[in-house]
Amino acid sequence: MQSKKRDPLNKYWLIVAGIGFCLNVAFAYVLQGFQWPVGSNVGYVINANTTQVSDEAGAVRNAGGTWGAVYPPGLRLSYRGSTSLTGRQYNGTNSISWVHEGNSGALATSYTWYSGGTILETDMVFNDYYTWSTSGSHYDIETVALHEFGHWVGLGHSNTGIMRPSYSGIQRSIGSDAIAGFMAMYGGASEEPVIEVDKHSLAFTGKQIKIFSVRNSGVDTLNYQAGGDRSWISVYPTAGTSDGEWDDIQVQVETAGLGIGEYSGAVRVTSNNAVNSLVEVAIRLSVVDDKPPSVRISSPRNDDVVSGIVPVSAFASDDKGVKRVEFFIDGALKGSDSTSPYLWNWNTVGVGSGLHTIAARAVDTLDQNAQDSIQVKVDQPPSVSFTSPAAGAEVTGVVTVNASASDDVGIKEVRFYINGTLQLSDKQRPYSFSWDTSEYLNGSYTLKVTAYDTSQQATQSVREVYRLPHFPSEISGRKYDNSSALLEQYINEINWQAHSRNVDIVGYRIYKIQGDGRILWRELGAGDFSCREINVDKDSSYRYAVHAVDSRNREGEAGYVEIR
Amino acid sequence: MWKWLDSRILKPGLILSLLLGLVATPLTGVMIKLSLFRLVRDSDLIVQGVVKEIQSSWSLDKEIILTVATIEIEEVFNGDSLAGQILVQYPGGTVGSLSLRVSDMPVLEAEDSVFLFLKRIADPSAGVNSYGVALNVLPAFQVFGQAQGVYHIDQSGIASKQGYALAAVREEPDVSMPVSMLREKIDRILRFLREDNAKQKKRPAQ
Repeated sequence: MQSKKRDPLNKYWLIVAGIGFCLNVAFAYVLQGFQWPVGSNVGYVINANTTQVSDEAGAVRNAGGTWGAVYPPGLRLSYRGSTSLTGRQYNGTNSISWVHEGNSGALATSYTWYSGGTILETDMVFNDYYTWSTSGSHYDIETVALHEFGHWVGLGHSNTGIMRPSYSGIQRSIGSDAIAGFMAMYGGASEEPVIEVDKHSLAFTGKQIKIFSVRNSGVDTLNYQAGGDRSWISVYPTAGTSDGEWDDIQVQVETAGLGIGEYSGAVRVTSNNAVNSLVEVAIRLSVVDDKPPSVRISSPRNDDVVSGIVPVSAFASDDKGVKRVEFFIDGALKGSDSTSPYLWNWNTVGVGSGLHTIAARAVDTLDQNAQDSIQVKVDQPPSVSFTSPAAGAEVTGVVTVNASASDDVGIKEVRFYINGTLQLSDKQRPYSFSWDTSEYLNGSYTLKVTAYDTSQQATQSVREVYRLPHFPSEISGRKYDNSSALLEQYINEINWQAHSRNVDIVGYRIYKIQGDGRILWRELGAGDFSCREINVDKDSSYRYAVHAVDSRNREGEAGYVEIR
Repeated sequence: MWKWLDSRILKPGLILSLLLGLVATPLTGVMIKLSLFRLVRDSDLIVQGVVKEIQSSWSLDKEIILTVATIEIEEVFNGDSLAGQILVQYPGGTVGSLSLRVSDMPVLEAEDSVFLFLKRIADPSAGVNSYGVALNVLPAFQVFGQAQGVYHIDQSGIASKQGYALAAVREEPDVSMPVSMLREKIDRILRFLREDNAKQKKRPAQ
């Protein structure tokens, strides 16, 4: 203030400055050159994660609401709830969060993702390093958010209103120039149907399927197709009728044939009648240096003949990790295992005989996959059963052991075993074996019959039988005169010996045979080998049956003797 | 105040700054003001140079797009004596059809003549993509103060900066001036800092 006199140069400067100021004022709003598609409903989520204030989300929502209250027909700003997301990543979600970014000078930063002139996503990050408030005592959240939302909708800095490049104090209004710019971008919509999508971009990191939702505010048929020649993008369905409801559209990318790198494309939603006849969902595919997995079926082996429950196992590996291994039979998914070792049990019961393909497909964390397959022959095992003797049968002499065997392909042979010792292999029907039990000790025996089919699969059946005690050996009898002077007396005497193949004998029973019947006459101990019948008729003939009895009280074969 | 405006250096600069207000500043964000004094004091390197090459690609964590600008140094004003080229990295850029614009970040283009206030990147390989190989070869920096730390020099020799918004500031000086004036201001500040530093060293320990 030392000089109050202004020289001509100063006057000249003021004139120029005044012109510049006026020109600046005339330049009312600035568009950034990219904006949301007309008709968009731009949803945003807030991570209220600063500990400095308690209602940061409310302050941000107030700012969003101030812009929303302008309500241009071509754009809506919608609060879609809270989120745990932080930062700036391109993920299809417009997020607002607080991140401690240090003393960088940046209070808040907007990350705007766009393609051509279309905004795809915008994230807003408040620097938690600085001190914030909702009352203006420090950096005012609502003021900064109000400015940032202006950028969100596509406005650049101008020299009036909230979009000024520098300002101080609390700002709660947008200003007429910013509103004019806002309406210039989104005010041209009419009452015609408007296409809305819930995501403006989808990011893929490999062969994946993702979904976005679309609706039309009026009745209309929408068409969905991959933009350009993006053959790696497929869309399902390709068309649909929408009457205000949200419909899910499935987008799948295929990485086969694509090298490592970044790929961009889009799914175009079109309609003949909507105001915004073309809405694009940007598709970004990142094919990274992640080798596809490898997989090999370790069991069964190619050309194996299988039946019953078949354990299928596979080795799988991947440089970044195997997510799961899927098992297929003849192309149909049958099972899956997400942990190594990768196993699945194939129950072939009921599966038709013949060749079948087993495939194992390993899927890695990027949904890349590899497959191994083998061919096996399903051949159901044969069936076999005894037809005689009956289970638990008490047998003597020569016993015919009969078996019945069948197979879906053919029986090769049927083997007969006694107590595990092969007795006969029979390759012709009827399958039978003559068992001469006279050579065997009395007691229990295990008969086993095993049928083999043409694939050398075997099935066996087991049956217990009981060989009864053999008849006493060297059995003999005589009648002798034991008369005295006073008494005429004749005696029948029966003698025998223990049979060499009898064991565990506890006694003998002697029956008298009379006509067609017989009666138990004597029961003797194991050490008795003789008995007498006194006072028999001198001229009559007598017939006796002698049986050895074992510890199970089973009576063996009869030894007969006739005494005349 | 009027004496200050009488300055033959500041008057043309202020006039130019108002005229430059006619140019759209279509960028976003809100920053606190970093004065020229602080830019000079806290920078690791201050250089004038020309942008020779721009490379944009995804960051290693695939979260953002990064741009690395190769700067051919014309003159070093403060910091290590460097010659040849340096790399300057900042978030934003275009990969394929996808672009990322980060508020307050500088946007450099090939053949731009620039005046840069830089901070050394502590770990050049961290957070950068395959271009990080080159970052390890050449000295790598980021702009201090984001867009506040970049003056573009036009063909008439005017150095100006834009592309950011400041909170709690009604107006900002030093936005635009002849490059000769900028150099002179920087020299003054550096002299002051050197003298102040010398005084600090002479001051007996307490």
